[in-house]
Order: sequence, then C-alpha cells, then structure tokens
Amino acid sequence: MRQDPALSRRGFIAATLAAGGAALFYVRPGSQPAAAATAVLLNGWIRIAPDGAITVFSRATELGQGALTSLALIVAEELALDPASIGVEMAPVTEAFMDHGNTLGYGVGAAYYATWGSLSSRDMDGSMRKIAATVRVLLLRAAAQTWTVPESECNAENGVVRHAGGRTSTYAALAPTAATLPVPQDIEPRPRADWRRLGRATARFDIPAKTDGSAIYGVDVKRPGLLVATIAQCPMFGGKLESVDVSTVEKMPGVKKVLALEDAVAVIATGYWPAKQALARLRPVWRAGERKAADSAAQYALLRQAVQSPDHLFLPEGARAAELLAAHGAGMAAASTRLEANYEVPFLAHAPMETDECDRSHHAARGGAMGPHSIPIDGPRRGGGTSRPAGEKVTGAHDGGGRWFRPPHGDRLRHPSSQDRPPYRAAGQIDLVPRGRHFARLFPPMAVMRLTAGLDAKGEPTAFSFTAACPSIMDYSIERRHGAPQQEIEEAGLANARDLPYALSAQKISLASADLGVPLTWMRSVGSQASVFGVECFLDEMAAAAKADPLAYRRRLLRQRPRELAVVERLAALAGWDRPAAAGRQSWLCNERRQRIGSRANRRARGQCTARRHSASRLLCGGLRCRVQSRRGGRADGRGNHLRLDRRVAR
Amino acid sequence: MLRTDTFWKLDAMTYSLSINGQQKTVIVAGDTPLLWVLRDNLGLTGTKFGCGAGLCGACTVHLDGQPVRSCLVTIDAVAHAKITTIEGLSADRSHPLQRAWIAEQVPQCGYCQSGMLMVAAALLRDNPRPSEEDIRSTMTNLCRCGTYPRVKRAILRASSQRGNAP
Repeated sequence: MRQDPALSRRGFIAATLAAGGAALFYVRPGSQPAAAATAVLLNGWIRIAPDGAITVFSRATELGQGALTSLALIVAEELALDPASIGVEMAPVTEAFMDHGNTLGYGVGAAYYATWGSLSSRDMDGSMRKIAATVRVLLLRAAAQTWTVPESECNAENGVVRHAGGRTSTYAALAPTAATLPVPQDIEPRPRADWRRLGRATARFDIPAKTDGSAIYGVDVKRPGLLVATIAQCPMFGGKLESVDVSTVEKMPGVKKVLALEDAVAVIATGYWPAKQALARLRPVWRAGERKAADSAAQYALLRQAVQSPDHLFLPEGARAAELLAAHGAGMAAASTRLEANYEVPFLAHAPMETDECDRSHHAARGGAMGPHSIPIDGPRRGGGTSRPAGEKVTGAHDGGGRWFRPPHGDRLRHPSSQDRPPYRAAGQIDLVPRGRHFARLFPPMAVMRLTAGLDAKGEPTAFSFTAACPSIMDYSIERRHGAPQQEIEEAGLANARDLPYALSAQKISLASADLGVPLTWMRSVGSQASVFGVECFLDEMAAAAKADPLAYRRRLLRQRPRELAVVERLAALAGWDRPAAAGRQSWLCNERRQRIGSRANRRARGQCTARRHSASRLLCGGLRCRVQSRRGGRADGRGNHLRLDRRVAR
Repeated sequence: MLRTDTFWKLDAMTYSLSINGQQKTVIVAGDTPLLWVLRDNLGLTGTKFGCGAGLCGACTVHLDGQPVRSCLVTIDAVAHAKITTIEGLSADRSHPLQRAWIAEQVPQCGYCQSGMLMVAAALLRDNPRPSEEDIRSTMTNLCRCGTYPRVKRAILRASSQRGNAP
C-alpha cells in the first residue's frame, strides 16, 4: 500500500516569525515543542502562526485556473474556517513536497513539483483534504489531552476548539502541542454531505490583486543586483551560431556580458532595456542546419505520406494485433457505406502573454532555475537536487501570466544550447526568448489524421479507424536527452482517440511518427486538441451518411455510456438543439471527454465537457460530476479552454 | 511621439515625471520606453510587458487621460504629460471598473488585465454608456485566457452602476 509521505512525517516544522518573513526550520521528532513565539507547521503542509494566521503550502502554480482558491477552500472546509482567511504559499522545493503527486498513483513514476494534466484540483482533493482533516484531528486531540476530556466531546470551528463543557482554546494555542502528537494515518475527510464551503460558486481570492496591479508575476520579481538576460535564437530550427562580433556592445551602458551559445546569442545587462538594445546591435551570423521539411506545405506533404503507413498500433489491454486487424478488416468488408476523411491541424504558437523567463538566482550553482510556469522548476532530480532554504518564498512560482505556459521539465528553463552549468554565477533573471518577437519556439505537434468508417444499411458503424501522423514530443524532450526510453505509443498523438466513449465496433487506432525538425513540447491539451477535432468532425460525417441528426447519432453511439450521454443531453437542452439555427449561423457538437491517466482518483473524478457552438458568439460547455472545489472557477476555466479550442478549429 | 527606430542614446538624462499624481525623478536614456521606466526605475510593475511592439495592449497607461501603449512611447516624449498607471486608477480598488471586474470575476491569469482596465477606463470616461459595439471596437487588447465576454459584461456593469449613481 502506498504511504502518504506527508502523513508519515513524524517531525514537524516550526517557523520562526522573523521580521518581514518566515524563516522555517525543521524540528526533529522528540525535540521540544516550539517556543511560543514560533509558528508551527502541522502535518508538513499547514502552518499556524501564534496570531492565528493559517497558511497552506501549494505545489500548484496559479495560472488563472483557480488552483490556490481551491486549495484554500479545501483547508477551510476541513478546519472549519473562513476560506478567505487561509493564506497560500508556494511549498519549499524539496523532495518531501514533490512526492505529493505520487500519493495519488498517477503512475508518473517520479516526483514532480508541477501543475499539469488538469490534476491540481484532483491532487488536492485526494490528499490535501486528508492532510487538512488530519490537522483538525491533531488539534482536537491536543485539546482533549490538555483538558483531559474525551476527544469526541470537542469540536473545532472558526479557529477555536470547544469542549462540550465550555472550555475553549484557539488553534494557535493548541498547535505546539498538536505538533508533538503522533500523526494519525487513517483520518477521513468530512463527507460531502457536510460540506459548507466546497462545491459552491466561490469568488477567486487572487482576482482583486489582478485589478490594481498588485499581483506579482515572475517577470515582476526584483532582487538586489538583479541582472536580466535576453537571448536571440537562431531563426532556423536546427541552425547554429556561426559567429558574432561582441565588441560593438560590450561597452554599452548596463551590459555585463555577451554569451555566444551553440545556437543563440545572449546579452546579460542591468535591465531588460539595455540588454535588448545591445542585442539589437549584434549581428550574429547563423548557419542553417539540415531541414527535413522547410515549410508548411512540405511538412503537410510529409505527414500525409506518413499517415498512409502507420508504424504503431494501439492495443487495448488483452488484445492481440492480428485479431484486432482481422476484426477491423471484416467490419469494413461488411459495410455497405465506407467513409474516409483527413483532418489536419497546424503547429500552434503557444504565445503566452507573459514572456518566457526564469530565475536562476538560487539554482545557478547547480545549473537549475525557476520560472512562472506550470512546471516552475528545472527538474529537481536532475542537476543534483535542490537546496532552496525551507520556507523561503519560491521566486518564479508566482502567478503565471498568459495561461497554459508549460515549459515542461526544464526544457525552457535550461536553454537547449546551454550547458548544465552556465558560465556565470550572478543572480539573474533570464529571458529565454527574443521578447520583441514574443515567440515561444516550442510547439504542440501538428498532425494529419486519417479516419475511416464502415456503416451498415442502418447507419450503424461496423468498423472505425483513426490514424494520426505527427512528430514525437518525446524526441525533443529533456527526458529523452536524459535517457528516457521510447514509448511504444506516444500519448500525445492519440490522446482521446485511444479511449473513445462511442460504441464504434472494430476500432483500429494507430500512429505514424514523422519528425519535422521542429522542437515540440507538451503544451496545453497536447494531442487532445487534434484528436477531438478529427473524431468529432468525422462523427458528423458519419451521421450525415447515416442520414441522422448529429445529436441523435451520438445518442445511438452513447447508449452504453450514461454519464457521457447525460452531458450531451444536458448541453443539447441548454443550447436548444431542436430549434433551427438562425440564418447564417451554424451549430456543431463537440464532445471532449477528459479521462485522465488511470488511477482510482481519476476514475472517480473524471468528467467530460461537451460544447456546442450555437452561433458566432455563443458557446456552451458543461460537465457531469466533475469534482470542482469552486463551481465559479470551474465554469471560467471551461470557457477559456473552449475558446481556445474554438480558435484552433477555426484556422 | 512614437518610437520608430532603435536609435540608441548613450547619455542618460534626468526627467521629472508626473505619475499617478506624484512627481518622480528618473535618470535614464531618453529613448527608453516609458514601460521600462515604470517597471524598472519606478517599480510600478502593474503595467505589464507583453509583446513590446504595441500589439497586445498589456502595457497600456494613460497620458493626459488618453490610453497609450507604453512600450512604444519613449520617456523623452512624455516627460511633460500626466501619466496614470493601473496603480493610480484608484487607491482602494474603488473605481467602478475595478468593482465590476471583481464582481464579474473577469481575470483568469490576469496578466493582460491592467491594460484592459486602463483602456476601459478611458472608454467609460469618454462614453459613459457604451454599446456592445462600442466596447468591441475599443477593446482591442489581447487576452490569452479568452476573458473577452467577461470584460464586456464588466464594462456594461460599471457603465450601468455609474449611470445610476446619484
């Protein structure tokens, strides 16, 4: 049985409330309780200060998805507090906090300090509720022990533990004693029926600061002696820096150093503007590299060819390739109508609003860095681990601006051409992209999808196939450079198509890999954007061939999937699908089902969103039994996602 | 005056600026964009750097009441103007638009919202009862999260509340 590392931690951490900051220090098991002037960290994650202020550590970056509000709501629910009174602080970058994700069994097989996979809320729901509930019990036990009364006669509410006999004590007063108690392993969070804060339409706590300029993003961080670097990369993928004359800018005011890198040139200066001015005066000479496909037309041609001969066949658990292919062939042979269509999606520039940047000030000695991203650190298990002092505010893990910015696993924090140990040691905020061009040069893969289907005389599918031709993200990942093995089937290219909810018999799902020489990464939704677009459009074509309404056809194919069918029905009702669209308007259905990596938490929490574009200005989306801490935040997040999907489809 | 080239002045000069009702003195090269003076010299980081090319609007401030993209305006061109940044929109988030922004829960990541608010503030000052079309045509700032529908609703809400105020 997997053990929660936070719950197994017997010691506690005390926080000395230094002026202007909280310098945390760890207290070993068996040590004396913290002095009265210290704050106490209970169960590793929740800090209670002498003045009653309660702070919880987060491992998720706030990127506008409302993760920190959800976390505050969870802790408030379990500790019976006003959610607005809960402070949230980024957790120290230590192994203890990174292990958190593994407690839910996502199967990632490594420690992460990351915001990914739409898992932040589920992560918190599964473990932070239990951690907070355990803290509540610790406080109750501390009170019961102090008063020599049964724990069952004590109640925790609004920062105060009360005994039925009338005695009271604050959480803050009880915290030092609670920290000395054994941490129970079997505490269950409050049942849903008792929720008074979770699941409601709560206003996000981070929004007010985003209306007066006081919210601090990574790009806003200031440090004494801060240096700023900006970089010009080779304008051709795969190209190298041939030469650069740095003498023209080395003596410019504010310029500290000019770095000639393998495929880039960087200027480090006292501020962005002097760095940018110096960079603009440089005239680097680039050498083109070998290019497999020089432009979009050549790239599409390569993928259209590749999609005809897939090299990976997805096999469901227990299936055999020969039997699967035979069944598909038989299904196609039995069809009275055969359909075939190609759908194509281009590379999509991620283009976050906040420029790509990172802070190397604490990790420079190890070649690491932090950034305001969904994966804010350079991999802790590379570069020799991290040594950020516990409790120090995590620079760079501030609000992430521009949404969905995901330089995974240090790919963007460590420029591909730089070595693990940069040739300087100054505190520096590194701008890794040419800001003027505002172009994050890592992409989700472009794809050509070939779909086929066979229908019988009644329009029922007899066979279905989906083949995606796309380049491999893994080939460009830092994991591959560090020796990660080739995956048999790369999830990014198939995503939702691997596990369609529709009753499509004799399915054949396959992948054709084709490198295009364009660096890739796991941007938001990764392959789902492409596969949902292809599958849902093709379903409409199948419905047309079956002479069925798209909604009615989906009803037929979802007969055995009541959850998914309920969402579709709900959205159809909201959209007024039965009414004809106004002149000049079009309607379409899209069922983007989000089932995450298999785990007990994900199965429980899975949901799906269905959207119908009813008109040029109306988009509906919804979910069923999606586990959301704040319905208001969930709605906003869904709208944002679908707006993006909408834009991509409209290209 | 718009900066149309990358002319580089070696000599820093002293500029006295009126920012959010206060006089501030900075010593910078005259071709430094107002954006970087605000952010790096004066610590007013509420004004955001997005594209640096006048495209996204995240850096919008008011010059003598008019919305301007501060990444395109050099400091020597604005030294005599009254500059208002997001920090100067109100002292306590009491501007009708700030209240509406919170009521409608407009921001997601929030990075573009300073610029959005400054453009919207200028719009409402000049046109207290804007139509939806007025809003659409004026609010050309970019939002990566797709908050446009809520931006529109918040402006309409602020417009309505302002109109009903005694």
